[in-house]
Amino acid sequence: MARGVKTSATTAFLALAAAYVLVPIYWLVISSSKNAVQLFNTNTFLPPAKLSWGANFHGLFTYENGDFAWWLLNSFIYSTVTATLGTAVSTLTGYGLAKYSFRGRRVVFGLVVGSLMVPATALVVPLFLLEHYMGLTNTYQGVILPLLVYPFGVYFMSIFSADAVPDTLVDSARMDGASELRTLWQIGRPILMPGMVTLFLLSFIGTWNNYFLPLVLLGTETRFPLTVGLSAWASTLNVAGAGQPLYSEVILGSLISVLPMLVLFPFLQKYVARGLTFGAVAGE
Amino acid sequence: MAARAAGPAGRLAVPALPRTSAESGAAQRRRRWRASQGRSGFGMTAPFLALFAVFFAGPLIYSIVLSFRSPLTGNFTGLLNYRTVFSNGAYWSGVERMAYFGVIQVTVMIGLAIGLALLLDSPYCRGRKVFALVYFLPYAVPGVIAAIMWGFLLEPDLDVALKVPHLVGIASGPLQPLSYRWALYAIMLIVTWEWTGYNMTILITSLTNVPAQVLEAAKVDGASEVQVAAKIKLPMVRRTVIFTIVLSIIGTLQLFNEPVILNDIASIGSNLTPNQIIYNTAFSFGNEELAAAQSVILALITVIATVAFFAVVRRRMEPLQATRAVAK
Amino acid sequence: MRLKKLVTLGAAAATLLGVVTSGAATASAAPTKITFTWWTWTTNPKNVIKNFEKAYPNISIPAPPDYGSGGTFYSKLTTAMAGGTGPCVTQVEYDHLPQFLAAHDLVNIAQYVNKYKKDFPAWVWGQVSQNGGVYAMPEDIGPMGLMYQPAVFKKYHLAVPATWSQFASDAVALHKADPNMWLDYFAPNDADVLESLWWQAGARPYVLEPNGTWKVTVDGPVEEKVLNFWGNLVKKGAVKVDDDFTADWGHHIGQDYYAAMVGAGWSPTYMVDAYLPSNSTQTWAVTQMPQWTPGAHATANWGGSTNAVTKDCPSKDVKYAALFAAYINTSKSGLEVDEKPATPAGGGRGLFPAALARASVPQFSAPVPHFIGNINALFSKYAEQVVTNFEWSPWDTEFGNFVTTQLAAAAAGKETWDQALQKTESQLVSYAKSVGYSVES
Repeated sequence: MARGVKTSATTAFLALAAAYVLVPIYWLVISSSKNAVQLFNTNTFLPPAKLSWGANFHGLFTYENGDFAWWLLNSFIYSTVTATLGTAVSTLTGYGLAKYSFRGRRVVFGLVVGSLMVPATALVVPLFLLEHYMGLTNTYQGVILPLLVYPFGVYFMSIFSADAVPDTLVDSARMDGASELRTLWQIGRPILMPGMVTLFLLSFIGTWNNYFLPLVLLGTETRFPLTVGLSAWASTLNVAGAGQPLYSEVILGSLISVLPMLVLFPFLQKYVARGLTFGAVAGE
Repeated sequence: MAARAAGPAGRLAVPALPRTSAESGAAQRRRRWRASQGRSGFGMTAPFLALFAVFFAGPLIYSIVLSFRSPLTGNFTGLLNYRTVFSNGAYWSGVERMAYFGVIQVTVMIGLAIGLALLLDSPYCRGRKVFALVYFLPYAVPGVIAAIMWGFLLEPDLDVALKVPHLVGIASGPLQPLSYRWALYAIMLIVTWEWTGYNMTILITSLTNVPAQVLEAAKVDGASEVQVAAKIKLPMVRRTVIFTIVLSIIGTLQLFNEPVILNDIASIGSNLTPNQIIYNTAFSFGNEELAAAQSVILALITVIATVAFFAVVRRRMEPLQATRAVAK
Repeated sequence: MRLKKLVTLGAAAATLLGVVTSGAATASAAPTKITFTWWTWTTNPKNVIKNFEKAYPNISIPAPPDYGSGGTFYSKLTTAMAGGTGPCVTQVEYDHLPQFLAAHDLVNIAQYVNKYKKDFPAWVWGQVSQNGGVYAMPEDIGPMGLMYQPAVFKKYHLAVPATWSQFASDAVALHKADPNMWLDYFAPNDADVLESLWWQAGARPYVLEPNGTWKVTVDGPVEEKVLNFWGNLVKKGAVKVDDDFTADWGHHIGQDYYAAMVGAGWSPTYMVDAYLPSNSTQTWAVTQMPQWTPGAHATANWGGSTNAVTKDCPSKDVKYAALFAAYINTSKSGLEVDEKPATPAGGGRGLFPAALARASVPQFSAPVPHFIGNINALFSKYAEQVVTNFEWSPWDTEFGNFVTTQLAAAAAGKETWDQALQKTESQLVSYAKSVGYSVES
């Protein structure tokens, strides 16, 4: 077959796959500009004659005392704090496992890798009960603390530290009389930074997208992240007589909840891709 | 609790350690020095271990303890809850349904991911960076939001495209992907949409590790692009493919977000997946003990499925090692 | 230094404020400011609270949170009670009382509310009592009848069905004459109405025997007879399969799909008026439920709730919580709010109160939009014809979960209606045993 035909065929297939990916996002953008009446009465894939973004924004942010603004803020809080602290803990732990020998090191390592296989299901219900006992349910810390246990992050950072931070550099810092933590901070950190950025991003995205854990642990609307809040609104759509149906709020809210990630993605893709692949490629 | 970014359940790659030596005076000093280093190292892992103990090991152990308690009295009751799970038809229907789901959806998704990765890696691809980015976009979308979006798109009242087959005369009414008969396939569509790009991204990054000289050699030998893809590239990323399949298997058995949201929007059923059943048992029936037993069994099924898959695949991997050694 | 000054200022202001406000409280039922939580899914709860706080100014109740209704609400309630963070007073439907009773979640308030026993129908008081204790105050009931559009029946020359066999032939005839209309709908997602239909037919799927064993027969002959009746109509297309209380179902009512609907005292408000567009010309009437035995007057109860005081209520507040639960459903002003329309304009809850004094409220005889006749008087009559020996089980939530899954499968043709009930029976018995009850099927 001629090269030109192969290229066209390839491009056609790739474009088709791209359409599959983009159609819902395109639909989300278009639909967010329609109010409830327009949603049911205009063509699904075309913008309405009169854009209702203004009314929709107003409705979204004023419904139920501005709960949506809380959800947006909360998602940022959960994601940023979890990613920052989680990366710090994972880096510290991974570096410790990689650069030092101590009793039980292999045990810890085994725990980390083994825990990767345990599905979250087995933990959420008893975690809820445990947190209730500790008074942590329905709090920010209650959601963040469990998420700081990030076995993948520890594993990633331990391999990364072993490979990237030369023992000689660490030894010479020690000779100079620097404490271990100081060594990590001054020598290790700059070297580990790309890995830390990757981990931060993966953790941020994972937390932003998390639904099950906050669903179970949180009871007050103003503490919900976007995932739990929007799904709560969506669940009223099928209930008869639940006040005015929240189609526009749910659609515009969904769009806003994916915007931060979508906007950052061209910049993040490189880091994230490397991080995701790491787990697969490491050990080869 | 993290997203599906997890490490391989394969070989432990433990970093090498300095060796101990004979006990001279200098060696004694070194040993004491190393002990203090060891303490620092342990100190560094302490925060993680504390969190791990409280928020991971604790719930896990508590889960197992709960599963042996009676829901009514709270006393130890042996295997009662486990016997209940084994006699619960709905739970095993859920597991069976997920097996069916996994066989179809994981195959289609990984197949698509491999296909896209190979196409992007081929010389016939134009606009590789743009396509790669586009396919990766769904990773930015939370599962529940994806389910909401698709829940609307698959609703005939909201999506004119579903009415087209009826208008054209092929179907007797508007398509109803969220009806009882088709709901599971609708979920497959959504999950594939969400994760194909993620898996493809992992594969394509792996493909960049294929040594250039091997590809050159193949081209010199006159191999077509398709042959190169099938016989050289694909086998070289076999380990990555296995990794993505394992992650997908684990994810399938844990399916929760999408069926729950779709059930809220379109009443597709509240007992479709084992995780939904566990959630209902714990929070609707208030029966945490039974839910714990159900969770433990699900965890075991997941581990068994993963290990079984590895066993099957490992046996097929031995001859490949030789080829790769030569290639390197 | 600055901080100390602020604190002193603050304390002074608080004392001043306290002096000013406490002087205003005259008739109060409590020495100090009492506050407790109330959970409900009824409409306009703020007006209910306002009305109560007017009579008892020293009691303050925050607006109830919005936890959905039915299953969603009970999920939240169960979880909260398990964690000890439940409300002081909560709405609980009659069919869920055994569940919370078995979990020891409800407080015996007999000493505070026994004086109200004479104010309610005997069968209602029986539903909230157990072993001499009283565990909830009845709020509203749902005596059942048949709502129908007389004009449609006239148009197609159909007799208003006095028996179920007449109902069946009417259904077939109607849908044949008008393919866009059905006599009624069948809701595979509604376990409650199925249990009520069983109730009317004299079935007793759950019986607590004197020795403490539960006899469960959800696949008994009467139960199967009732379900197959509806299943056959579904198969013939004479009755539409429609998940009730969903948005689509509401649209269908507005679009005039149904010539009749089996309903309860609250149905004119919550099943018809809620979904009719303002320009609708539908006109409805109410008659007795179709009978299995010609000439009989048996009916059942569908829905209706109570307000119960829970174990999570601090013991010093229990007295006032019981007072609240009693006041809002027995006092004249409470009943007035209960019976006003459940709209923002109406400001009420649109309930059919359980209390016999319901007829003394002017609103009782007020015309209901889109309905002719004094429908509340009719429902009151039916309230006295409710079959008396029906019992609920402690596993109504589980029953709902199991049976609706099976009904959905049967409605999709994956199994027979009998199989649906048999599977439900085995699941329910097995579950109840696993939780520690002594059960026989």
